[in-house]
Amino acid sequence: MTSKIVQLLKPFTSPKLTIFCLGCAMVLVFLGTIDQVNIGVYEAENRYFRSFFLFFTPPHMDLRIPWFPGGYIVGSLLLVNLLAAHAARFRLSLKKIGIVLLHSGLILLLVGQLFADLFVDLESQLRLDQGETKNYSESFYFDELAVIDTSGADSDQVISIPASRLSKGSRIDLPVDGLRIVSNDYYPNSALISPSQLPQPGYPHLPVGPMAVAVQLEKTYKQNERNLPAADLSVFKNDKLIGSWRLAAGFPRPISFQAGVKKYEAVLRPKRFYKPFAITLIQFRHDRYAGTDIAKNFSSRIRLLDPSRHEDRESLIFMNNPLRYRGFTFYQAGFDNNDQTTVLQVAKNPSWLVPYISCALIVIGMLLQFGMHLLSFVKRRVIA
Amino acid sequence: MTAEAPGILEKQNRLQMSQVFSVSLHQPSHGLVFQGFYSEAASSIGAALNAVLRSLHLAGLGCGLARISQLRLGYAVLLWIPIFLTSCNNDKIEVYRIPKENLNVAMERGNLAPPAPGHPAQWLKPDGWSEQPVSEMRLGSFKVDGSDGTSADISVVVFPGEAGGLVSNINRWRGQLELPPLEEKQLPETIQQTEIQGAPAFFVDLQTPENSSKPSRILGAVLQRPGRTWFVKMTGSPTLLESQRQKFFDFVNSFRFNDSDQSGVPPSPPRQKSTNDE
Repeated sequence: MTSKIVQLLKPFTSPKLTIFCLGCAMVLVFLGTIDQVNIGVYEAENRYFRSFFLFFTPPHMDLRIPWFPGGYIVGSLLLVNLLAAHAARFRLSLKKIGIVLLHSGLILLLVGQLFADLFVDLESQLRLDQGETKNYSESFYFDELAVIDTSGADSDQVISIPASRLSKGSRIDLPVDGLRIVSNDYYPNSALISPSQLPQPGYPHLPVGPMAVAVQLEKTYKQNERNLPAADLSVFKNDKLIGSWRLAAGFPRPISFQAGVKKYEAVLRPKRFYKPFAITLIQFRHDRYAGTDIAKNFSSRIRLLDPSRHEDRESLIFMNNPLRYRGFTFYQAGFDNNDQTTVLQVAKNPSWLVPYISCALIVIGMLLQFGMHLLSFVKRRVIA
Repeated sequence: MTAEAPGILEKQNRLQMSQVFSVSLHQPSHGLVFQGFYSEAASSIGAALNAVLRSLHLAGLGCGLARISQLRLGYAVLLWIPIFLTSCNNDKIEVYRIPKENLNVAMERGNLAPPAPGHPAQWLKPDGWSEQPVSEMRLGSFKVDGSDGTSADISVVVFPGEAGGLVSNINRWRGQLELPPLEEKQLPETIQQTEIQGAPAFFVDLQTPENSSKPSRILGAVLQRPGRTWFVKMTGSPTLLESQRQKFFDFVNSFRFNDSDQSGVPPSPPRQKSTNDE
């Protein structure tokens, strides 16, 4: 049995595979770094590292031809390679302890990153005007179509559909009341303009309001810009049309409709992450050095309110001094609106310690390994 | 994600106009691009094709691996199952409950409705009109009930610039009442022009055609201020509006603008700054 497993693993234990994977990883890092200039850090991460393949699209075609393994494939092959090699050749000996530690650090790093990718919520932002209170943060990259059942007495039911599912022609069955949403048109990025600003009368657009139409824009990948999708949607209940609406994330005003006895609202907006607590911005400060415009300090005095834990306190968030609460970390990230609005970055990563531990393991492993080599070398010299 | 019950709530939708206006338009193009795994397909056929292709690629890869390593296909497939399961993490529909938002109760303070500080205009609310909650679009919202059970709705909205121009807006209102659009030169026949606080104001009185199944009427006013245009509109049954006509004119004539204030319509706000930029 054991020999059978070893035989099955054998092709994966080859050092050639390791070299191949490391080579691919180098190519990926190089390409990702170069392309990051055009598409921004986030999109480069998605395309080169959080992907199975790099795709190539020939001009004027809808095909996506994979031409190079992406980060997921390279990483998982490397992981399998490492595990298989240890499983096949592992012999407990004090001499090898450095190698074992080093490799377990590497494995922990790979597994930890995979874990973070799969289970950790995406980073989001909390934008607060002075005096404003919010119990949710918003994604900077993703939008959602929120269909909200407002007929409950004291709570609303939110059905959040990722905007990426709304591509033209798609049909989405909602898990409630036999509702179905059909996308008649979808712009991944759009701008709202006045109808009179259209370049020509027949220019493709979606009328979103009495005085605004949405026109398609090229998707943006710039760090400080976001895509504002727009969609033309029809809502059906039990295959009966309730109505059609044009929604735009640039104008996130809910439309309402009635389905059976229930009242619904629908809005296209940045994806929201509701928290079991609320935060109020008391004051944002942008201190400058006297007589100059050079920033000295950014800070947000906030009030944290969590009735379920009887928490009601003030806290000061400033650079390198985030607020940590219930697994979330709130960093001072930006400001807006003539210093009247603060932007806090919200992160939740239960595996944040993992990279530190794995790096420590790798360092200790390397020290042991090379230390032992050095020791034996010195010993030999002394004998000689 | 599930949210437990917090006490405080606010769901506030704000205009995000940083990207709006000053834009370059383009037709969707298919350049020579590399695309990520999650990028949307341009059409449903494309999406289906992509899905098929994607699974073919993966299957092909599985077969290739199986051959290379003399493994059985099943083994190769098993290897990819966990990766497959996780590949659509961002695409899930989520359902959760949140406590109801606290609605801002509209101001109920007597006859003179003093707009909030920094409000770009003030007006006198006529007797018999009841205030309705204002929304993002509406700076003022009122309702008046008729004796025969009908009611009329009055809205005050403001848009930057000319908001598409007078003709297109009047024609938009005409369209709502099933009336044919007018040419610009026909306009003076249907509108009444005056001045309010030194700036032009246009009144219209529009009604559905006589044989209409749902008779309705619009009393509208377009007030052109420097840099922005105000629209005051009353919609309701023709008889009720006839009785409210004078009150509507008085209401519009009571408008006093605070031109020093520029916050009525959010202009493109300065782009959000990162604390790393400084």
